[in-house]
Amino acid sequence: MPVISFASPKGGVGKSTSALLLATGLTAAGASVTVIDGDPNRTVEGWATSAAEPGFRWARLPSDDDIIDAIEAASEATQFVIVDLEGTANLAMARAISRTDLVVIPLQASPVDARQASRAIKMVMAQAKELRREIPFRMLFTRVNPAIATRDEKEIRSQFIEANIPALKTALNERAAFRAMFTHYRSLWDLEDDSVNGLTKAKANATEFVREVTQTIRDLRAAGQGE
Amino acid sequence: MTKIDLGLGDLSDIVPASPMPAKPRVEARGERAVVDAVGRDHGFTKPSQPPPKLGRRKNPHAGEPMHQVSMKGPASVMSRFIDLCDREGAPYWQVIESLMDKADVG
Repeated sequence: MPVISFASPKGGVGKSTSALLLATGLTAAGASVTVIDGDPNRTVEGWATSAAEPGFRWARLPSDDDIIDAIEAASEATQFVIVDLEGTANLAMARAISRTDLVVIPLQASPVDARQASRAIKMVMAQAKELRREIPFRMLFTRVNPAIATRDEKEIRSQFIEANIPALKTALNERAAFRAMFTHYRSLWDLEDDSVNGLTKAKANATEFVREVTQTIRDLRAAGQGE
Repeated sequence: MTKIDLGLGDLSDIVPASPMPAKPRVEARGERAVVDAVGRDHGFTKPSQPPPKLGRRKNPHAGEPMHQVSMKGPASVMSRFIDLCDREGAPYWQVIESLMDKADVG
């Protein structure tokens, strides 16, 4: 039932990769998942149609007029709905967010990404106010250097804390294994250990991400949000 | 597909949503207007697909020389034909063409 949307008005921040990691992780753990692909590059669709056994349902984001109905129908069909939105400030993002239980806003640790992410935050908050309901969101740092946090990353994280902007503790690291999912059309959990460098660490990182998102959903439900 | 323990616990507490009764159209339109207005205020305006072209369809006979036929017939038949043209919102000649196409004649 929970609808988790990956949204940012900027492209190339890791929306599709994080959406696919979450979808394949939840699927591997036995959950039923629908991915609605709003990325014009059809990244998730391309992966799902090429993978031998994607494990999740997928659909293209329909026309702007049908988005809300499509999300509601998917949430009645599977345990989780993941919406991968186009990296641009479009009407589809505004409408999809209105039916979202958790908005994940990915960004790389750069001031440009942070500024664009703040546009999404402002829109989510304004929409929540107008609709008089909570629309929970979490920032997600992507392509982070696993060895050392850059000065930009530290600075942006500290600004988020000061402004009470919630971020997932788990950041997705820069890992060759994440890219390998698209090379081999296999989920991270189906890749062979000897075929990709750093696969074990990538799996641990992605597992932590999937676990934190799932726990966030549970915490929001316990707090009466995200329903 | 083999199930892998990722430490998510028992996921049976997360279930698909129960079907909800459709919102009245007026209510759904009102909510959408609010969502769109917030989106507009924050610059989220770009449509995902180009808006449909609302102009009339191009006349496939454009440029052809025109010819006029004056037709006399029983009032009931003429009235039936004119009613059909009104319903189709098309000129007489287009309805004649459509009828001939359907009958696959001419």
